[in-house]
Formats: sequence, C-alpha cells, structure tokens
Amino acid sequence: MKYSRLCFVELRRLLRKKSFWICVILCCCTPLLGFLPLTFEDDILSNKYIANPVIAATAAGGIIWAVFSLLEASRVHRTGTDVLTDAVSAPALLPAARMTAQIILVTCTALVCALIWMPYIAHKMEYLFSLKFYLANIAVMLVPGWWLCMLIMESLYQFTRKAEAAALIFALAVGCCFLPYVMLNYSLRWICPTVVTYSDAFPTYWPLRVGLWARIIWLSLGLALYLLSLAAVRKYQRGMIVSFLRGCKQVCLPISAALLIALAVVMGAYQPFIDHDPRSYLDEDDEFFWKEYIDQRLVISAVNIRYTIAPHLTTGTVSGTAEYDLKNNSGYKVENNEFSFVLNPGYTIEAITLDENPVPFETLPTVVSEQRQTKFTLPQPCVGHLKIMYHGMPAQRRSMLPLLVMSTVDPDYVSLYRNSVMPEMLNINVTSFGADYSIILPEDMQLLWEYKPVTDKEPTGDGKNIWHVKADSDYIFNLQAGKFVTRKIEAGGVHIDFTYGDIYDSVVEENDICGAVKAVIDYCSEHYGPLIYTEDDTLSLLQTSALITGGWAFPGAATWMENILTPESLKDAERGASAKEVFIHELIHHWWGGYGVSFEEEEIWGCEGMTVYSTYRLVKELYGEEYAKKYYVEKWIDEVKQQDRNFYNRYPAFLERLPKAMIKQILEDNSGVNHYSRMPLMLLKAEQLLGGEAEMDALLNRIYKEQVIDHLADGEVLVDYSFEDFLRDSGLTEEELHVDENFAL
Amino acid sequence: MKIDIENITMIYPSGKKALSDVSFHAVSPGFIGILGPNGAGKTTLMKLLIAGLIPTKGEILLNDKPLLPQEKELKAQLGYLPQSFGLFDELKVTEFLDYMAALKGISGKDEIRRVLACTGLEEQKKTPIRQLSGGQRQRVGIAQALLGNPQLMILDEPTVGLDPEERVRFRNIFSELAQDKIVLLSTHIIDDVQAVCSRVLIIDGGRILFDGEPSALVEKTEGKVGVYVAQTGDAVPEGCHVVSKVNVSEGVLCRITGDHLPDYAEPVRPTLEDAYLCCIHKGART
Repeated sequence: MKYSRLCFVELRRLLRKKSFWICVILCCCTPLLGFLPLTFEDDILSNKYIANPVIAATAAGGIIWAVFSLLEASRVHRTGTDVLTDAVSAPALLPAARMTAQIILVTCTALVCALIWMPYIAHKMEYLFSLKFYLANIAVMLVPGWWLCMLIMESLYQFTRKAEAAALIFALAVGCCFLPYVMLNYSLRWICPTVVTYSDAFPTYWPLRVGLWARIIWLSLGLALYLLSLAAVRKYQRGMIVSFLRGCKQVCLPISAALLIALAVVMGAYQPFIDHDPRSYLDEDDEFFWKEYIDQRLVISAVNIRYTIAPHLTTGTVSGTAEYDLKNNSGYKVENNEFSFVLNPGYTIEAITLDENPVPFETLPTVVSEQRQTKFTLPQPCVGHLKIMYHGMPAQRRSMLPLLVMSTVDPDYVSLYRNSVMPEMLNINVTSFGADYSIILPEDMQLLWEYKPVTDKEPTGDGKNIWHVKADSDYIFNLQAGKFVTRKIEAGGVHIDFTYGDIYDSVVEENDICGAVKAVIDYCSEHYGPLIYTEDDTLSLLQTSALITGGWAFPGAATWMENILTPESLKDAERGASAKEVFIHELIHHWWGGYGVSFEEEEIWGCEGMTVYSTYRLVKELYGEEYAKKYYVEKWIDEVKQQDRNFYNRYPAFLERLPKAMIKQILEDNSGVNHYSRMPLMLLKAEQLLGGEAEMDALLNRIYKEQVIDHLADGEVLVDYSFEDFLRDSGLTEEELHVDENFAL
Repeated sequence: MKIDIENITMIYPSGKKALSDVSFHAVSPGFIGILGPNGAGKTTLMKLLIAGLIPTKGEILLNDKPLLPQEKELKAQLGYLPQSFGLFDELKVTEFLDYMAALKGISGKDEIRRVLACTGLEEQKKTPIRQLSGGQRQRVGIAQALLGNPQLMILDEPTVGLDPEERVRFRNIFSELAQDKIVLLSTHIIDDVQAVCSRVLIIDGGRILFDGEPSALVEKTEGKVGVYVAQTGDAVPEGCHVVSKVNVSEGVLCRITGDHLPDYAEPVRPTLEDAYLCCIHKGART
C-alpha cells in the first residue's frame, strides 16, 4: 500500500516536471530518425516504416530516457531533497518507486508515440499495414529498450554516485552496440536487437520472437544490475563498497539478482532459435557428418518412405514422423548395425521404433550447419518398419544471422528447409526410391513444394488439410505454406503458375501484373528462343518472403522478392536495379541456367553474367537507354574499376599473407564483381565488336539453342558454357574482350 | 519514548573526530535545546539520532533497544528538519506534503490540512514550491516534519529565515509539541532555547559541556558576568571574554564574562547567552 502510494505520488511529481514533457516530445519525434538516409534503404515497407523508425526510436528514445533518469536520480542529491526523504524512509525505497513510476510513464509515452505515428505509417504502407505487427514491434523492441536504458543508467548512477561517470559508462555501453561484431550477433545488441528483415506479404514473427528472447535476457540482466545497485544505495554516509555489503544483508536483493542473472545465462546458452554452432559460416563444412560414412558400403535400403509433417503455427514448432521399410537387397550381411541420420538441432527425437519396438538412440551434441546427428542401433538383421518421431522449433544457422533466416513457423506462414523437414539418413540407402510426404496445414494455407504450388489435398474435417506430395527423391530443399494465390498465365508457349501472397491480390488485379509477366516472357522467348523446361512445360513464378534473401531459380520454378509489389515499388519506375529488375533477372536465368548455384570463385565466365547482360538488354528496351546506362553500365564500370584498383588484387602476393577468412572474403567479392559486372561488360564489348544488338541477339540466340538448351533439357542446373566456348562462337579474342575502367559505350 | 546515548564517539572516514564519548538520555516529554558553535558536532549528533550515521564507538538505544535494528520503527516516529534541505520545486505545497506523507506511510488529507494550518501555509497550499520565499520554504520544511504527529522531533535550526513574529509562533508550536514527545532543537538563537527548552545541551569540540536546565546554567554563571565602560584602545581584562559592546557617550559599554571579574566591572545578572558563552569559553580553556 505504502509502495503503491509512493509510486503514485512519484508519478504525479514526474508529470509536473517540464523536463519530463520535453522528453516525451523528443521521444515522440525519434521515429523520424528512422527515415533519415543513415538507415538502411529497403523496399520492404515493414522494414522502412516499422523496423527503421522503431529501432531508431528505441535507441534514441532510450538514450533520452536514460539521461532523464540520470538527472532525476542525481537531482535528489544535488538539491539535498534526499536529506528529508532518507530520514523518513529506507534510502532504496524512493529510487525503486521512482523507477517504477518512470517505467509506467515511458510505457505510456511509447503507446502515445505509437498512436501518433500509426496514421502516417498506415497511410504509407496502405494494404500492407498490420496493426498487430506494428504493436508487437512497439511491445518487443521499443518499450523494453526504453526500460532497459533507464535501468542501466540509474544502476550506474547508484553504483558510482557520480552523474558524469554513469553517463560515460552508459555511453560506452551504447557505443558497444554499434561495433560490427555486436551488430552481427543480434542478441548482443542490448539497446535493440538486430532485425534481420521483416516481410510484408508473409508476416514473420521470427525476428520478434528472437527479439523478445533477447529482450528477456537483457531485461533480466538490467533488472539484476538495478537490484544490486539498490543494495549499493549509500547509507550512513558510507562509500559504495560498505553500502553495498550492508545492502546485501537484505538478502532478497542479491538473491533476486542472482536468479535473474542465472535466468539470463540459461536463456542465452539455450536459445531455441539458433543452432549454437560456434563456427563462422566461412569455416563450416556441410559434409561434416558424412565423412564418417564416405567409404562405408550401404547395405540397408529404405523403401516406402513416408514423412508426415505438422507445423504448429501458434508455438512455432514442428512435429514430424519419418517412416521407412528397411530392406537388405545388397547381398551383404550387416556388419555395423549402428545407423545415423541428421536433423535440425532444434528438434528432439521423441522415439525411434522398428516394427513398433523401441530402438535405442543417442543424439550427439555436435552441431554443424543446422544439423545434429542421431545414432540408433537396430537389431539384426536390421530390416523392418522403421519409424522416427521428432518435434521442436527449427533452429537457424547462427553463423548466417542476421543475414538470412531460413526455417520459420509463424501463424500465417511456414518455411522449412532441408533437415527442418525430415531426417537425412547417413548410412541407409534412401536416394533412389522417392518418398511420400503428408503435410498437415490449416485449410486457408496453400502448400508450396520446391517453390511450386501443390494441388493434391485432403480435408481432415477439423479445419485442416493434409497435402500429399509424391517426390522422386527423399530430399527436399524447401517447403513453404501460407496464404498464397496462384494465377495461371500462358506466355512464351509455357504454362505459368504465378503465385503470390493473397494480400497483393487486388494489386495484381489493378496493375495487370500478370500481363507484365506475360510481356517479359514473351520478349525473352522471342529474342533468345523459347523456354525449355524439364517439368511439363510449366513454370512456377513464386513470390517469396523477404526473409529468403535474393531470388532463387530451380528447374521449373523461379522466385521473385516480395517487395516488387509494394505500393512504393509500383509507383516508382525511376529507381536503379530495382526489385522489378531482380524479378526479370530471375526469370532470365531460365534461359541461361545457373540458378541457385554458387559459382567458382576464380571464374569470370558463367551463367550469371549472361543473365545480367540479358537483363540489361531487356531493361534498356523497357525503360530506355539512359536508364540502362545509368543503373547498369555505369555501375559495372565502377565496380570493375574498384576491383582493379584494390591493393590485394594488384599485388596478390600480399593477399596470400592475409588470414584465411579474409582471403576467402576478398575472393568471394571478386567473384561477385566478375559475374555481376565484369562479364556483362565484356558481353557489352562483344556487342560493340560484333556490330550491334541485332548481331549480339543472333549470337545469343545461337548459343542458347546450340549450347545451352541441351544442358537445360538434361535438367542441368549449371550450364557448362565456358569463356573459350564464347570466344569460339563469337570469333572474338580474349584481348579484344578485355575491359577496364576506361570502357566506354 | 526513551533515547539513550551511551559513550558515543564519531570519527568520519576522513579522520575528523566529530563527537567524543558523548552520553545523554532523553525521555518524553522533553524539549531539549542543543547549543554549540559551528562545527561543534550538533549536526553529527542529530544524524546519529536519525540513523543517518553509524557511531564509531558507543551505542544509541531507542526504548532500551539498539537503534539500528529499529530503524524502521524510528523513521515511523520521526519528524526531522535538517539545517539545509531541498524540496521538489515542481510540486505544489500540498502535493509535496502528500509526497512526504506517502513516504512516511501516512494517509489522509486532514493531516496535511492540520500541518498547513499549523505552519500558516494555508494560503500557499496550491502554490508551486519554486514560487515560495525562503521563509515559506522553511515553513514547508517544518510542515513535513510535523506530518504524522511524530513522537521524536529533531529540528536543526528550524527558525532560520523566519521573521521574528513567525519565529515566536513556531517556538510556541514546538513547545506545545513537546508536551507529549521528545523535541530536540539545535539552534544558535539562545532566546529560543531560553524561552521554550526545559533542558539544554551545550556541545563544543565533540563533547558535551553542559547538560541541564537553562536556569541551572544561568546559576552557574552567577557573579561571572559584569559590565564596564572602556575607552578606545583598552585591552580586554585577562581571563575574560567580551559578550557585547555598546557605544555610549562615555565610551564603549562592555559586557564581559570570566571567572574573576576585574574590580572596575560591575556584576550583573547573567542571561542564558552569557552563560552559554561562558560555558563555551571555559570548555575551550579545558
């Protein structure tokens, strides 16, 4: 009663302060910082209008409240009010009440700030605005950030009892948040967790879940620090250490702090969202678990493979069952009856049975690249009906964060990759027999299998559908589900399934997007030849979540990023290599191959360069010569120039002296420039040398039909068409095609 | 209520010895005036009594039990007015008193009304504290000390900044309060002590020089105060101290204290101020 009344009078006192209202006004202005050019440019409106302003407001507002908190904490000592208050109450009581009041007030300020900005943000985002998602950001990012800043600053003051020292330490702590290492380790950035990206079309709560987890960790630590600082509140005019030791005699303070620290440590160590593989992605080795079995003969084969996958949308978890009929047709006796598979490390193996009998198994602790190994021992002769049951939250590859989020299960969207779907057997032959998949999803969700819409479904009667997929292989790269709409388009002589998030349905209709897709495919088919497909003359053009970085293409499927249909993208045709052009680029990969594969680092020639050049040609036709020159040719020249001027490229002897990771990084950068800038520039030079676009088109048409199409028809992803092949077909020499920064149109 | 101070010595971490082997006892009702020069140890003594300091040596008992374990109980019964203090300037007078009432765990607007009436702040009750004069701020300080009718009141220079009329009024209020509680009044204004205190403590150099009724202190000084007219350049008689000097037509009328007055000094009836000064000078000599 006394404490609540004290909080109330403290609340009333703070409301009387001009400085408080100045802070409120400043904090309400802080989202403006999120719109400054300093923040990262993004076509995803949820990033631009929610993530950026919220992160900016969290950091800037947090600093403002920290300063306010410091002034309030030090003010009682500066003015001598503490002489009165400490005489009639415990010295730690008033700071605690003040902090409670401040927390209430900044929470209200956050709500006011959210309400003030909401009409503007909703107006800018139009049909992509989600009130629930917006408020979730305020609740997870903004409010705890402001709390944390106040807790830390006031703790520092209570420890040091010197405003300048507290401010300096706080500034250093804030500065640490912007160190590159901390920026890449999302949970270390205490002031505001790093947001990978949001998605407009497929609301993905993964960044918020991770953010909330990080928030709880940091708030626990902040609160622990604050409780300890309450113990350090000066009493009997003694210094920090004596006061602290005396304060700790109130055992509830150190015990509560210790419990909170323990909670933070446990939560940090056992984050369910990441794979906890400590290595950098540069050091990872995807073949790690296979090494043990490379030379081992596969005696046991699996047939009748069936997987049942049930994502639980509210908890973000997945339940799965993998079933195999194990046979021994090899003619050999099983010498080693211990078998292995790998699965996402976020999953727990619930049971393994052979013909309904439990099988002993052991999940090993080592995690590599989103995989963890489980070993199980089958009774001889190791044949029968094997069943593996698993459940859990798919964990992301730690080393890829915050760049890429792969597997996620959200209320309206599911995306599962590789071992997040099913186990991968290491020493049982499963490769040749295909598999049947059953995916259980709510009835308003559409299943996409390897980026293509699935049609075979069966209602369960309880608001769900079981989707059936019969796959040629037991291996799946990607499974997605969400509120998708698929439209059928006939273009370039193929059937196109144009699939996108249902939120864009009216936009697609109003802007005749299907007509635009048809025009692009018709154009490319006319210039380079008809598309060749391995899958029934059907192409799936799929809009993917922004969490899946970049565009992907597979035989019969190409993805395009979701930002292509945002209100701003549709209204702005003047931007450079925009999302629209990425869309075109990914489509053109279907002519030149090379989709979804990484290229050799040293190679200049490849599918990517042919695709980039063709994209430029199409963009030139669509948007004009000036546009294409500005956003393509000049960009290529600039990047080639930078690459040629790079010290390590000019003096490779010094490159070899760098650490391995840096060498790898530089070579990867070079590879990117080679494929995305140097080679298109060489093709442009070839165009000039051959006499113009018509001659180049004729050459490309010939290359496509004579050199590329057969590879595509064979289902090859990476078309083997070398630089030497091009020199031969074009009749040009390497010297003639040499480009440097002096290149001119 | 009963307070016992037993052989208290207080040495600050800086090494400064503020009190040395001080002992005294107080029971309610009682109005104790504490006199002493600046730096005598009065404020340190008061801080010890409000549990704002821990003595280096000795013990303070509240109702026969050690004070520190009863800190909470002490604070609930304490009204404290320090020598210098700050107020929350952004609050109105009533709000500030409500704030302090909340800190003390006291509820009820009646109590705030009572102390406002008592301190003559009714007209300023809705005035922001930043707009108050120095005297009015002092009265707000007194008002907060009166909140909850505390059983122990410790007042350090409470009438500083008040006009004479107000000073007398508050003096009387304190006197009334002392009818059922312990009031410790530290002041430099001897008149206040003489007028209302039933007991006086004189402290200097961290030691108690006198503890008793004011009249006893005066009696001790009987025959040790005298007056004489001095001429310019005359030296102060040996062993004596000048209490006051008044210019008169014949020269300067000097009032002196000393164990042995010179023959030319005419003995007069001592006042409490004379007695205090005499005590201080004597203490300084010893």
